Amino acid sequence: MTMHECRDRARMLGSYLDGELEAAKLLDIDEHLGSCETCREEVQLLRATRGSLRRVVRASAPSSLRDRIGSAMAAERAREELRADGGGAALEARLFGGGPGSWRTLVPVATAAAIALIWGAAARGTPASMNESLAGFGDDLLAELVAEHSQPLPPEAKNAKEVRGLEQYVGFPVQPGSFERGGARLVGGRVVPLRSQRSLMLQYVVGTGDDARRFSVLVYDAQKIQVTANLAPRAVGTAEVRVGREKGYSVAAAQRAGVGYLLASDLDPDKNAQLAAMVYDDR
Amino acid sequence: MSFTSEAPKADPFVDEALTHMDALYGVACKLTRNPTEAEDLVQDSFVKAMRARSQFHAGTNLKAWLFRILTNTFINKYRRGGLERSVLDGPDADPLADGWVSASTMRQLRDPETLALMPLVEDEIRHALDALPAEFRLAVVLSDVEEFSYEEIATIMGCPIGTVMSRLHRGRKLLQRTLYNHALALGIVKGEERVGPAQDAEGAKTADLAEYRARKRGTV
Repeated sequence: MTMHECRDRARMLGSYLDGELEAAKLLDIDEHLGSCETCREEVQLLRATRGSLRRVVRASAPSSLRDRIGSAMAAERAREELRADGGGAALEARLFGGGPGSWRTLVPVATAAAIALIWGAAARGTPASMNESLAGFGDDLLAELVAEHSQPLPPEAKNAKEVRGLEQYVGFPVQPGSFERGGARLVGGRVVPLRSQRSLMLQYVVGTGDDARRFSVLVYDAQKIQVTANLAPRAVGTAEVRVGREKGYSVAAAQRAGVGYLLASDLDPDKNAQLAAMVYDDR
Repeated sequence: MSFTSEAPKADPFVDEALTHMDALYGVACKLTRNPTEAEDLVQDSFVKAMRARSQFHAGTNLKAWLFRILTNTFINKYRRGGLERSVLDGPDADPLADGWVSASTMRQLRDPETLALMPLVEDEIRHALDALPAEFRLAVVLSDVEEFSYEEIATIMGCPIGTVMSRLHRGRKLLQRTLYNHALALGIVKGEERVGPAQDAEGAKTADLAEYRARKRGTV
């Protein structure tokens, strides 16, 4: 058996073991293995490695995780039902209506708690001691964002490369291309001071001609600045963003890898939320 | 709407999804290499699955669907640049040859009694797996541990089947090479002349990772 014959078949030995070979190749390998000790040994090594991998990887989830996920899924389902029931009005009726169904008033409360937990989990990694120094991103800053959006200062950086260059001033990764995948065009960006942190204000245009709309994105260090404004969670596909209104503008917040994104535009809230969800999209 | 029919436990989707939690957690541990992050990743994945459950077609493979969500969540949350970046930044960005080790050497990696890997070598497999670039590690774990078909892995990882095969082959080869080097260092096996592609009379091409990336992008 020459090495050449083995080389041609070496790539197939894994597929052979995985049961993924078509019949003709399977027979060929079977026959080859009957006469080639090296390849036979290779298959046995692959099989032994597989057994070891299983022992190394298989794990039992801690029971605390099981409980946590059970509650989170229940809360998620409750939220869906609430939405299906007509949302706020139904909630109010339940909260104040009493009667045999009043236990369900607890459901939205549990749901809200679960959502806060999930949102909080994204920002985890921040030591508890740092929480005191966290800058709150309340309604006043939402107003500031909208003011920046409605009366934008001229951008310092006017293309993606220059905007990425601002990374050194803000200390977190800047990827202005995230929104361009959603059909938006980058106009530019500038560094803005917010609560003694440097953040980034990006300006984009989406749509063309009379349909062209501006939107602004505040990019900030989510480990240092937290959104405390009252924004409602909204699912976009499998992503979660938070949405709200400020002085007639649509506002949406998303957070990824420790970086926060806050969008303001005069687009309808759905479109605005979809744009915010682009930060989760790599495909 | 009657709430008696909606008791929290009576949801087949949730019940079935939860049966896969251990598998998802095991793989999440290997992806994140951190049990706390693994817990967060699994929880995020379950919540997303719950939210997107209308997109799941009953009767299709729920486990594969959950793993797909897990994989996407991992990429989105922990790897801004996606999985591919790890090939460049990974610990094994040096040229990789298929390597050719004699049958007798490979046999020495195994325990003659159990035909499994020797305990000393098996210890190393944990480290070797952690050291693999994430996309190879995930392919190997999905195939060898979770026993997904190539087609299912392609769906989970969002890549063509050919890429799955390539990642599996290269991932397993990298594991073997690490185990071999470890066994060599421990003196379990004796060093032998490795026939690499450079000396290969057949003129096989050096399969380095940069070339692999370029080929994948269709620029070669």
